[in-house]
This record gives sequence, structure tokens and C-alpha cells, in this order.
Amino acid sequence: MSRVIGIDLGTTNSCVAVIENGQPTVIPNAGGYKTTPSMFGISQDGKRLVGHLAKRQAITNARNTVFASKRLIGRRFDDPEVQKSIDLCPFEIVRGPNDDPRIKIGGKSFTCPEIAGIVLREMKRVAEEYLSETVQEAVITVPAYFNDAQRQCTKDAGKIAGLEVLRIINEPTAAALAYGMNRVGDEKIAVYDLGGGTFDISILEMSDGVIEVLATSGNTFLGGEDLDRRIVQHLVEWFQESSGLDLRGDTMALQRLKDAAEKAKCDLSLRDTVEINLPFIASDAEGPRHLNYELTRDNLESLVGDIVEGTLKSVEQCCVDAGVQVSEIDQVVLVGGQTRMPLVQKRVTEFFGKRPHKGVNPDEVVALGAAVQAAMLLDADSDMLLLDVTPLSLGIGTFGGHFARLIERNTTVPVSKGHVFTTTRDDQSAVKIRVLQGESDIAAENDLLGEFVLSGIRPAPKGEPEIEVSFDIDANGIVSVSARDLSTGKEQSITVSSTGKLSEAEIDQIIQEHDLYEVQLKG
Amino acid sequence: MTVNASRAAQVSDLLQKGLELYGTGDVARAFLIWGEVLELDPGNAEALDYMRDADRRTRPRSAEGPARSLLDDARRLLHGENAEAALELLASAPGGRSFEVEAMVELLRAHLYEQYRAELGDLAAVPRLKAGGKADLQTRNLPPSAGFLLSMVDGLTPLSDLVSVSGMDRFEALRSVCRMRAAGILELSA
Repeated sequence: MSRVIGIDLGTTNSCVAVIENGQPTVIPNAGGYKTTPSMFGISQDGKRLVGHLAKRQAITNARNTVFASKRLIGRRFDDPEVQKSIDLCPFEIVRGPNDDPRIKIGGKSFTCPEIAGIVLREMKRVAEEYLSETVQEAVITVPAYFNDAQRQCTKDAGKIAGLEVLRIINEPTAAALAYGMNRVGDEKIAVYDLGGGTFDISILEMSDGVIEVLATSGNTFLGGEDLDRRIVQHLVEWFQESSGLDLRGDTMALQRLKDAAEKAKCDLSLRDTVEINLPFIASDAEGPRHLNYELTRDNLESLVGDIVEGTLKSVEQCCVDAGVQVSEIDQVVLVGGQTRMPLVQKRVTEFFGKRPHKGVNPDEVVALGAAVQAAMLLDADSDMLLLDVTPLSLGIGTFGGHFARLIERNTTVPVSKGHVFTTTRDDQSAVKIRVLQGESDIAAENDLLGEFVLSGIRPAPKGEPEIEVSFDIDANGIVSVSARDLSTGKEQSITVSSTGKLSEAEIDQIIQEHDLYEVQLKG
Repeated sequence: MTVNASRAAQVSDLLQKGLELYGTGDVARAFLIWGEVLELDPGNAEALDYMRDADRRTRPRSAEGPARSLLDDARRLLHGENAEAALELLASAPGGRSFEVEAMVELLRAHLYEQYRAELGDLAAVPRLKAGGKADLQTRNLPPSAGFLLSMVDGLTPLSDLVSVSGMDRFEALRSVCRMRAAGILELSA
């Protein structure tokens, strides 16, 4: 039996882990890196690049390098988050035929599940190289706030990558699992996740093996890269003052500055001072110019202190949303590479009045938790019980534009609930059922997961026919719905799919295209 | 269609396009197109033949005075197996370039590209910073593009990938690597 891997499909970096000798272990790639940038690009000579190679051309060939596509997955083109990405991203985002955002690079349009699938395929390859065996199954993590469409698209991405996705689990849940927190008694846990491009804070409640997400908050456009940008900006200004040369328009110089800034930032988590040396960064009539600068931890903290403080405002709000006092939090878990920064650890400790958990690398903890979940799924005798909850209420649109909740948020999944509806007009022969997910009482303010029509209702005065609609949310948080006319017994069952979701035929076509590309490369 | 077949079709189209441009008298653009062929298919004999032939045929017609002397000097250097110096000479020429000079530049680039490819061998080789190569690095006179390439050398990435992700003109990237190798800054390992 081949092994099941756990994958943290991150906005900025991805990580893959597997259980080895009973212990979850992160799998390094050929370069020895334990995380891989979630980036895909096409070089100027047409080569497809994934991971570190794609990252290397992120600035010099920005229009053809995709990053943070996780912000777009499962959303509609008109979604404010997508529109914000369009404003901020150097690559082209266009409206797809399914009203979904698509990314156009190298003259080809890619769907978001396809981009995620390319990254997942790379993680699969890393695992296969390390294990020397084929890997076919995986557990993949998603943010706790991901709705049905985003979860379905992530599952599609797994399929595109050639993986059967056994389970989709919430990232904070995975982090808690990696620390074995499901084995302890009733506790409230804060998971502070500051990654490369996003910040998430989740308050979890552990009770009898059920992990409930009490509240989640954050900023999908804030992360370690904002810190890198501040450093780059500082270096550019300093270099201009000292040499008179402006590097802002020089993409090669900016790429080097970005790489150096990221490295300096990481080094300053371990040391008080770093030397940034970038020889031949520019040249003028006097010859080559070098950038040699000493950056201290104090410098860095003054440059980015406000960003760290901003995350704590979200933490405060999250505690309010969860109805939890800060003093009631039993454990704090740090997730994401940026939480290695001493200033982050200091401020989080001060905020919660307790030291965060250490012992597991913050940029590996989610993948490790996914591997633990994978092992639990394979082991029928496992004494571990893990139940997640649905992050958003599920219901349908009703007359007058209202939203009728059928499954409240934070209900333990899997769950199944039914409700009887009726017609609003005499002799109405069909009803259109709009399935929505969200917390607003107004239907239009929630996410439309999909809609379907139940036809063939027997002619009757309004209010008389009884139509029973059953909703199921599986352990992955994925929704399916069936409707039945109680008098005729006529039934329709669908897996709800948002308009942005890919059809099976589209997925198959994408898989074929990628297989063909790989064959061409080998040819 | 495989990548190789697709590239062959592209090469064939470009060769034809170059000939058409040459036929209309647009020699400079014909040279650029044939240069593209050599980017796709280094050493393409047909492209090199066209370029040499076009250079020979256009040579006596229009270059005069200083341009003529510059071209003659460049040709002498090329025949003396010093295409690098010939290219430097033309690059330092003041004012706008005539199409003969442009054509000569393309020919030299094609010649040098072949030379670099032969010198570097398999592009799957991995460039590494030579022991001690970093010590006096800042005392050398390298252009920013060389500094950029150098910053990407990590001892893991093959030369072919390095050239791809650099986004630099392939000729310039290989030229830069050859120069740094000759200067004892870089070495290549299998």
C-alpha cells in the first residue's frame, strides 16, 4: 500500500510531510529546502518553472510569474478579493468562462485549480523522489474560513496533480494536531499564523476530540513579504542617498534586493546584525557600484513594528468574535515562517501573557499535522478522534431575498440536515433552490454555492406542496444537496458546485495537457 | 506535436521569413531573424550560411569612410579568431549603426555564441563560485548583469535553468558566464 502524504498548500510556500517510523517528518526537496514557493512561471524562453526556480524570476519576469493564487481559488471574478489581486499583482487576471478568475501568462490562460495543481504535483514529485515510490493519496490543508467552493477547487487541484484527496482539513486544526493537542483535555487554543502573504488568527476549542473553530480572523494581504518590501524600500533609499543612483526601475537590482532582504530578515531572527553585500548592483561612469549595508535587528524592528502591531488588532477582534477572554486561552501555537521573528514572539507572548508553544518548526507544523491526519485515516484502530466543524452557515435563499440557515456555522462535520419548503405561487411546477453559505440574513450578501431546479411539482395551491431539501456536509467541508417532492416522491440529488468550479471534462482536459507537456519535455 | 517538432517548424518559418526580408533589401532585419534561429537552434548551418552570404554580398555596396574601416578591422579580428574583440570594437563605434554594421554584429554574435556553447559544453552543468573567487570580487570590474547572474549561482541550479530564469538575452548570459569562468570567479561541475 502506498503512503499518504500531508500537504500544506500555502499562499506563499508549500510543505509536504509523511509519517516515518511512527513520526511525522517533513520531506525536503532536492535542494534540501523543506518548503517550496507556491509559485509557477513561464520563462522568457518558454520553460515552465515551479517553486524556487519560478521565484527567481518573480521580479525580472513578473508578468509571467504567478504567486499567491490561493487568494483567488474558488472565488468569482467579481469577488473583492480577486479585484484587489488584480490591482496588486503584476500578472494578468482575466474573467474565465465560468465567471472564475483565470491567470494569463506566457500566452496561455490557466485556471486557479490548475495553478494549485501544478504546485501540488511538484510536492507529489518531491515526496516520490524522497520515498522512491509512487504517491497517489494525500491530505491537504486549507484555511479555516475556506467555503465550499474553495474546498472543492482545492480538491480539484489535487486531482489535476494526480492525487486522490482523502481529506481536506483546516490549517489551524492541523497545527493543533501536530502538537498532539487532540490528546489533551478541554482547552482553548489560539493559532497565530503569519505566513509569507497572509495572516490568520484562529481560536479553537478542543473538547472530547472535537476541534471547533470558534472564530477566525486576519488579513489575506499581509505577511512576511510586506516586511521584505519595507527592507527593500529602506535599502533603495539608503543606496540613493549614498550613491545618487536610483535602483527602483532596475528589475535585476530589485530581484537581488528582494532576495537579500528576505535572507537578512531570516538571519536577524538568529543574530543581532547582518551584512548585506550586493556587489555590482549598479554601475555609472566611475565603474561598478556595490551595496554594502549593515542591518541590525533594532533597525528591522523599527522598520516593521507597525505591521506586527497590526496583527495584534486582528487577534483582539478574533477573541471578541469567539466570545473568549484573552486570559481564557490555554495554549498559543505559532504557525508560519514569519513567526520565527523575535519581535513577533515577544509581542504575542506579551499579548497572551504566556509563551507560545515551541518545538515544531512554524513553517512545517501544518504539513506535519496533515501527515498525522493522513495516518489517522489509514489506521482503522486509531484511538484518535478528530472532528472538524463547518466554518460558515449553510442555507438557501428564500422569498424576499432572505437567507434561511439550515446548518449553523461551527456544526461538527460530517452533518446532514433536512428542511421542508413549499411553493409561493398557485400551480407552481418548479422551484429553484439557491444554496448559499455565509452569516448574513440577506441572501445576496452570502456566497452562492450553486443552484438547481426541482421540476415536476404537482399542480396545487401555493403553500400546499411539500419539498424536502436535505443538506450534507462531508468531513472535508464539501456540500451536497438533494431535494424531494414529498407527495410525488420525485427526487433530485446534486453535489453543489459553484459557477466557478471546473467540470469533470475540464479537469480531464487539463490533466491531459499537463501529461502531454511532461511527455514533450522528455521527448 | 512534440517540443522538438514545434521548434523545428519555428526554425523553418524564421529561416523563410529571414530570406523574404533579405529579398526585399531589409538585410538588417533579416540578420535579426536569422539570429533568432540561432537562439532556437544554435549552430543552425542554414542560418549561418545565409548570414555569411548576405554579409559577403552587402559588403562592397555602401559602407564608406570610417564605417568601412571599422568593418574591415572587425573582419580582420574575426579572421584572426578574435570575434570578442571585433564585437567590442563595433559596440564602441560612435553614432548610429549602418545596416552593414548591424549585420556584422549579428554575425559576430552567432560566431561567439557557438564559441561559448563549445566552451561551456553541456548546459546541464552546475555553476559554482570558485574557491577564493569571492575574496577579491569587489575589486573586479563586472557589469551589473554579471553581478545579477552571480547572485543566482547557488551550486544547485544547472546553467540552462539559470539562463532561463535570468530573463537575460541568451547570448549575453552565456557570454557573462564564460567571462566569469575565464576570470576564475566561476567553475562548472557536472
